Amino acid sequence: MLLVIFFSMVPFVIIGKITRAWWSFMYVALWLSLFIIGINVLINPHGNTVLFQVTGVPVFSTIQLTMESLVFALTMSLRLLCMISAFALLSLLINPDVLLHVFLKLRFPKKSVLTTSIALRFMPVLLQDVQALQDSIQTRGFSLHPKGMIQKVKQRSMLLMPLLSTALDRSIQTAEAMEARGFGSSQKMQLFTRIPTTLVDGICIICSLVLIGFMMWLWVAPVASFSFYPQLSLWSWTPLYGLVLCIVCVVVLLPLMISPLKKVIDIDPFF
Amino acid sequence: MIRFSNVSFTYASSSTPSLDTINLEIDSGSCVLITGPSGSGKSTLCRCINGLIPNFYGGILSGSVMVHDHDAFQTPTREMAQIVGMVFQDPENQLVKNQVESEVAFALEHRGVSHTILRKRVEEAIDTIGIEHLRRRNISTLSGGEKQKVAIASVLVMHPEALILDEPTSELDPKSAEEILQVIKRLNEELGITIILVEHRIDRVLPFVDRVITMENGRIYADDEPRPWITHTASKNSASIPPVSHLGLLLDQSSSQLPLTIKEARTTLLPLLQQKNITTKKTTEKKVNKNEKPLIETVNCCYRYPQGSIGVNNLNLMIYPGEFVSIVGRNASGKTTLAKLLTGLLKPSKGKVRIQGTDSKKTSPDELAGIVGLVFQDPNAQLFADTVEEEISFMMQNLQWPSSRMQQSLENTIETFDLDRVRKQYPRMLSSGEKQRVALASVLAAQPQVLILDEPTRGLDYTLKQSLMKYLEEYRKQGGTVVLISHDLELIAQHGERVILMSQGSVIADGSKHEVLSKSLHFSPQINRLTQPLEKQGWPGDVLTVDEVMSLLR
Repeated sequence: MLLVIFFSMVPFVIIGKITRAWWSFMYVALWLSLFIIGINVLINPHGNTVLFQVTGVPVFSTIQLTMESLVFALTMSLRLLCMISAFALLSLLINPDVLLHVFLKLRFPKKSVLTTSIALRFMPVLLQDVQALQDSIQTRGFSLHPKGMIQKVKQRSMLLMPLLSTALDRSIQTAEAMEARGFGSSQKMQLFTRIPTTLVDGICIICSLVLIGFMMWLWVAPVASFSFYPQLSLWSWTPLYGLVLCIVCVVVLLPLMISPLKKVIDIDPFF
Repeated sequence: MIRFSNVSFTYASSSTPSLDTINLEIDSGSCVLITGPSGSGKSTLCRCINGLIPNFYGGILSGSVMVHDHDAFQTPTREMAQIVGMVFQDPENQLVKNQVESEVAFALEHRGVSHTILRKRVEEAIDTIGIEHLRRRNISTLSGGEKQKVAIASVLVMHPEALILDEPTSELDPKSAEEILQVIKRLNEELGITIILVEHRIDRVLPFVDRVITMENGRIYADDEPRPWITHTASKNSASIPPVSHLGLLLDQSSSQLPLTIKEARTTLLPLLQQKNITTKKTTEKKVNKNEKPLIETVNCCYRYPQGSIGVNNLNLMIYPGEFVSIVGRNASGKTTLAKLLTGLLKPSKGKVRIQGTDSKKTSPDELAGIVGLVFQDPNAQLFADTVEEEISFMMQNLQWPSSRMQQSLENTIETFDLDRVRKQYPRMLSSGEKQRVALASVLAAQPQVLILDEPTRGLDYTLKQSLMKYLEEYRKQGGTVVLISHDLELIAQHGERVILMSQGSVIADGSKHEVLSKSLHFSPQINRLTQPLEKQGWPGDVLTVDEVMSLLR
C-alpha cells in the first residue's frame, strides 16, 4: 500500500520537471532510512524469527537479526520516504503565494498571511547574508570549523547579532517601501490572481476525501491489518485485499490521468 | 508642481538638522537630478515629498511641501502614494511578494479598485517597463537589475504623477544600471512623469536631466541646468563630471558648447584637438620583475558550481608582489568567483591555486588570512563587532599577534583612516563613508600582503571613491599588492596599472591598462573612444584620461 502511494508521486515529479531537486530530497531520505534500518535491525531484539545471531559483541553482547525487525524497519523507512517525498512535492511544485491564497480564501487574517508571505520571501536573502558574513570572518582569519562544542556555540552566537541587525535594517526598509506604496489604505482587499476552482480541482478534492475516508475505514476494518510482533503475521492474498488495493490505485491515479489532458498540475490530493 | 517652502527637518536621533530651510520648486514633467555627498540630506528631501517624513520618520519639522495641491505633511502617506511613487536603493528590501505579477499588483490590491481595472493597470505597468517575460517568475530568482525593474513597475501601477528614485542603481552592475536609467528616461520623455533622481553616476544621467541640484549639509548648494552646473562645480571636483565635459572645460569651451556625451564631444572637441600640435613623449610604464616569485599563482584553474555551471575556466594567472591588478568584465564573467578562489573560500575543481606557494586545497581560508585580505562590496556584510576598535582588532587577534604589536597597529590604523571620533561606536550605525573606511581598516590593520577588493566603489559617491583610492595608494607604498575587481573603467583608467579582462570565466586580455583598455568599443574609457579617430594624425592610440590628453597638448 505504501509502495503504491510512493510511486504515485513519481509521475507528479516528472510532470513538474523537478526530478533533480526531488532527487536531492530523496537522496537525504534514503540515507536516513538506511540509518533507521541499520539501527533498528541491530538494536531491536524483539521478534521470534531469528535470521542470524552474533554473540560476544561488546556492549550489545548478543545481536539478533530478526525477520520482524527487518520488516518493521523497512516499513518505517518507506513511510518516511513517503512523507519526505510528499513534503518535497509540496514545497517544490506549489508557489507559496498560491498556498497563501488558499489560506486567504479560508478566511485567515490577511495581515498574518502577508507576514508569512514576506517571511518566506526573505528566507533566501537571509541565507545569503549568513554566507556573506561567514566568508567575511573566514577571510579575516577566523576558523569556521573549530574543535569543541563550546567554540562552535560561541562562533554561531557571534553571527547572531550582525544577522539580527541586518534583518532589522531590512525590515525597516521594507516597511518604508510598503508605506510608500500605500499599504493599509483600504480595508477590502482585491486579489489580483484569482485561481478558479475547476472540474479537475473538484475531482482532486473528492478523490483525496475518498482516500482519507477509505484509509480510516481500513484502519478499523479487519481487511488487511497485520502486526509485526511477536511474530510477523503473514497475510494471505484475499480477493478483498486485492480489491482494496485496486480501489486505492484508481483513486490515487485518477487526478493524474485527467490533469495531463488539461495541462495543469494541481495540488496533489494527499494534502 | 512640487513646492518646498522653508522646510527644515531634524531626525529624532540626531542633533543637527538634515534639511535646513529648503526652498525649491520643481515643475511638472521635468527631470531633476539631486547630487551631493552621502549624508547631505538627499534622501531626507525625497522622503519629504511623499510624506514618509513626518508619517514614517519622526523628528522636528517646519515649513511645508505642496505636491500637486496636496500638503505632503498633512495628507496620509497612503494617499500621497497615489501621487508620488518612490523607488529605493536596495531592490531586495522593497519587494514583498514571491511572484512578479502579484508584486506589481500589490499596491492596488489594497486600494479597493475593481478586478478589471486592477488587471488593466498591472498589464500596463508590466508593458511600460518591459518585463513581460518575467511576469511568472519567482522574485528570488531575479537578478538585481530585474528586481529593480519590478520595483519601478510596482510603483507605476498606481499612476503616480511624480516618481522619486533614491539611488536606484547603486546596487547594480553597469549594464543593469544603464537599462534602469533608460527606463527612467523613457518614463519622463514619453509619459511626462516628473522624475526626481538621486544618483551617483552623474556622467550617465547628465545628458537627459533638465536640472541638477547639489546638496551639502542639508542645504541646496547649487541648482542649475546641466551645462552651467558643470562650469560652476567642476572647479571644485572634476571627478564628478563626465570626462569629455572635463576635457571641454580644460579646452576653454564656453558653457553652452560643453559636451555631455561622446557624440557631442565628437562634433565640438574633435576639430579643436585636430588643430593642436602634440608632443609625443612615450611614458615608461613600471615593469614588474617577472623573475620574482609570484605571490599568487593559478595553474589550469577551473571552477564549476555545484549546479553545474562554469565559474572560471582554465585560468593561468600570476600575481607578483607590489602589483596593482584590476579585473574587469561583464556580469557573471567569473570575477567574484576568481576573488573567492584567490582567498581560498572556494577550492578549484580542477587545477591549482597557489598562495605564496601553498596549495589552497590543502589549507583553509582562515589560515591564508595573514597573506590575502578580502574587502567586500557591501560593508554591512562585513561589520559585526560591537565597537569600531573591536572590528579592527578582530583579524589581528585571530592571527594571534602579540598585544603590543596589535595595539600599535590599531592606533596607526585608526589615525590613518580618521576613525578616532567613532572608535567606541557600533560600526553599523555609522555613515556609509565611515562604514566603508572601517571595513577597509579592519582588513588593512592586519597588513595582509595582498588585498583583494570586490567591487569596492559600487554605490560610492566620487569623494568616497577618491579617498578609497588614496588609501590603496598608501597601502601600496608600504609594499602591498592590490587586486581590484571593478566595473568602473574611468577609475581604472586613472589609477590602474595592470588590467585583466575576463569573459565567461576565461581571461580575454591581460596587460598594461594602455594595452587592454584602448582601441576597444565597450571596454574603453570615454576619452579613448573620443581620441581613437585622431590616431591617423599621429596621436598615440592608447590615450585613456583627460590628464594624458592635456600632457600631450603641452
